[in-house]
Amino acid sequence: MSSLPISPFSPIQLTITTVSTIIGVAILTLPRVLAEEVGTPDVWIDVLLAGIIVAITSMICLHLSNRFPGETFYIYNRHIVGKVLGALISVLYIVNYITFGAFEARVQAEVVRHFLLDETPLEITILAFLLVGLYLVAGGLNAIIRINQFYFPITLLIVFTILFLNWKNFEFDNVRPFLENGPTALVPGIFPTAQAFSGFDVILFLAAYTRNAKKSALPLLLGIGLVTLIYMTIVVMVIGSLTLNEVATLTWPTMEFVKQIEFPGAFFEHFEIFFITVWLLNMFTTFFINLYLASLGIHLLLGWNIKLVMFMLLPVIYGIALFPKDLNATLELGKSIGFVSVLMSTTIPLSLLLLARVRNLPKRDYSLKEGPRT
Amino acid sequence: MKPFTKSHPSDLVPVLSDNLQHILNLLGNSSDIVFKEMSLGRTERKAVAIYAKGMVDQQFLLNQVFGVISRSFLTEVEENPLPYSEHLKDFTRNASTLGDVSQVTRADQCVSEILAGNTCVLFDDYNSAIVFGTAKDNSRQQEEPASEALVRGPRIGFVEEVSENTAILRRRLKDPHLTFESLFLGRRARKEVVICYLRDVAKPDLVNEVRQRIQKIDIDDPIESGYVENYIQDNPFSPFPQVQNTERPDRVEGALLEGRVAILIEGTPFALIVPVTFPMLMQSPEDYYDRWIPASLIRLLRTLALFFALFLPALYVALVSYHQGLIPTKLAISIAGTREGVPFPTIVEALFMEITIELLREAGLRLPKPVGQAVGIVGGLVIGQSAVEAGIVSPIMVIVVALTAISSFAFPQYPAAIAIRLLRFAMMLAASIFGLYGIILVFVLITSHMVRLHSFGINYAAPYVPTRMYSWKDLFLRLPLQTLLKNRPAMFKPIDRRRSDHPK
Repeated sequence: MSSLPISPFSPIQLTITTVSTIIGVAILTLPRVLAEEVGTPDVWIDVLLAGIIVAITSMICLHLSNRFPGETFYIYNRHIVGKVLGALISVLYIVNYITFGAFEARVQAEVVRHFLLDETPLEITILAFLLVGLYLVAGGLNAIIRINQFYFPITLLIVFTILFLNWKNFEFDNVRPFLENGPTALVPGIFPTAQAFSGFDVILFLAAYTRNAKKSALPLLLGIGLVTLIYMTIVVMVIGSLTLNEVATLTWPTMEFVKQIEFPGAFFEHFEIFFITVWLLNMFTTFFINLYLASLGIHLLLGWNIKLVMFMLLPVIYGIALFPKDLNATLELGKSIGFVSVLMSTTIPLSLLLLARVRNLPKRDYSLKEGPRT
Repeated sequence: MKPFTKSHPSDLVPVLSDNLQHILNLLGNSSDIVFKEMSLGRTERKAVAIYAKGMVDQQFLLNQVFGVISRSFLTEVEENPLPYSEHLKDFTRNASTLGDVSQVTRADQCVSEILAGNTCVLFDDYNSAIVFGTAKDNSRQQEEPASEALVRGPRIGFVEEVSENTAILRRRLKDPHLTFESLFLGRRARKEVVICYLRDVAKPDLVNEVRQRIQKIDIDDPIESGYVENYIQDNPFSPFPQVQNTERPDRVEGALLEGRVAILIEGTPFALIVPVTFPMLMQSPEDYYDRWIPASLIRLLRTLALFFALFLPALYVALVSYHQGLIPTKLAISIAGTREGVPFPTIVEALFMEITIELLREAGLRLPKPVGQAVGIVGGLVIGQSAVEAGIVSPIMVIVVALTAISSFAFPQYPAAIAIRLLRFAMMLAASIFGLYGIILVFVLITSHMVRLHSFGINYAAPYVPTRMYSWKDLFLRLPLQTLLKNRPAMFKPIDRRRSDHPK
């Protein structure tokens, strides 16, 4: 069994990876999803609520992982629920990551077709995306962590610049009134918003390789706070400058929002170049970790060479990515993946944590064994 | 170490003619090797001095070696009739007072001494040879290195003599912890390679790694430092240079103080520095000699130059051939106007101009300096102008290409510029196939490669990634030295992190 070596990383690196995994498709579609599901201008409260829920759940994930220091979720779940059920849960996660990766590849191809290359077939753009992704993932987890760190400052810089430059188009009246239909009207928006955060459960798998994983709580909370802030600002700004009714009709409202920027005299009056670039980089970061974790799971379950698994997964992901007929079918697929993902990432860690508590696991003394194991 | 391919490791015997024959066998019948015979006093006994013509200091040879030998044997043999063997022993015992003198007992040692420019003297009935250090100091004048000129900074560069180079460093850095370690490299050439580092700063693992990689090299002659670089780099298939080379002692000095290791090689003024990361290749020693505000602005300018040199032609190709909608309207109209009548697609136009520029640069490089400049002017101006007039390329393309070329000249170090030149073509080709998407894909590939690449255990993108906020003070900006020089960069994991005392 041949695996790629993993050297431990810091809590900050864990946080940046988690944030980079979360930020993906949703940044383009979240305002529309909320406008459709809730239909009031104060949906940013939903984002805040979802953010809080995700923060709590991520702490559950971290807490669960820290009970089994140095062991990744694929390994320690069998200590809690036994070999068979543990393997079943692992398979569930692997399938989730594979389909999620495929969805990422498909959506980026759709966006590229819509905004950049209207004549290039999807098959080609998806294939190019997968192959480029494979090159990095074959470098192992530490390469993925480092590239997340590479793109993170660029992402923050561009996203906040774009939000800042759109200040002129923002109309406060568009985001009023506040709590018009009472707080209960906002409830249906929480679940779809939580989907925008899917991917935070990588903590389950990565905490094992983190130095001082116990000290990761604060950085992780700050990271999720940052994502919540970005989502909230985007939702408020997009609805505030495009109006709720228009947002509901746009497939990629955030992109239209970026297109609005008029910066007189500047060479780049089209800021969507930067935004598409940064968004694609974040699609890559999400895909990297998806492909890696799926391969790691299969590698740990079956003991196959992890690089071989990556190669073998590629055609599978390619097939799934090509499966939806059109954009609508793709977005529907995204919805169901998000649904399952949210369900999994909330219920499974919580129930496992409770079970571990009840059964008083782990029974082995981990304090003697330092350093990560796979 | 393998000194010679066919070595005859046999000791010298007390028969002069046998010894001579032995050494002659080893050396071959080279015309530059001089066998000078002399008689010892008025006896029948003889001594033979062997040296390589041109490599020895002739004056020194005549005065010291021949003078001393003939004098000591002439006068004392008559007055004091010691037996010959006693006399010889006496002579060799006291010989060390005569200067740089040593004694060797093996023929192959004799040969290496001769080839190093020393003089070997063999005596009748004596089973070892006396070696006089007569090697001539051949170093040239120390000049300012042409490849790394600075406006402000020491006007001194390394020379071809490795001993001179160590002396330059020692003179600049009078720290007792400055350590030079000599190795000999090359089955045939036996060139001296000196690893140099600060003993109490550089991480021992790093020094060991460097030593091991150099010892592993099996080569007949490392002609230039580039040979060593090629053998010790981490990834030979990478477009990026993973070893820094420099002719500037001040750059080496700075690197040593950061806890890095320098490698000096006999016969070349280029020293190697390891490890190196990409952001370091974008820095110049002058950044630290200037005041911090101009230095920081120049760093930002270089970042912009990097962006232009890598992306500009590719962006032009992508925007003009795929995403005309993303170009500002007025600019789009003027580009379309200038492109009217150009018969080629943008990528052909761009490749044509880029290759022309590369040819001009290469041609200018190899020609004598005045001619090179003329070629640059003729090529740049005339070809650009006439290509536009002939309607083969559009004027904007010429501007793009010129801006790109100037940007890549703004790189402070040549190897980094070459890497970016190479990647620029990949970008352009990708842009012609996938437009902006292609550029992003290549960017992801390059960054992926960068984060996977290491130079002697250091990530190639450090200190940008893995992010160390402390080191970012010296990355895109160069903050005041007082804040910068408190600690050494953590990424090299120096033993002694502190550069100065600072209250905590």
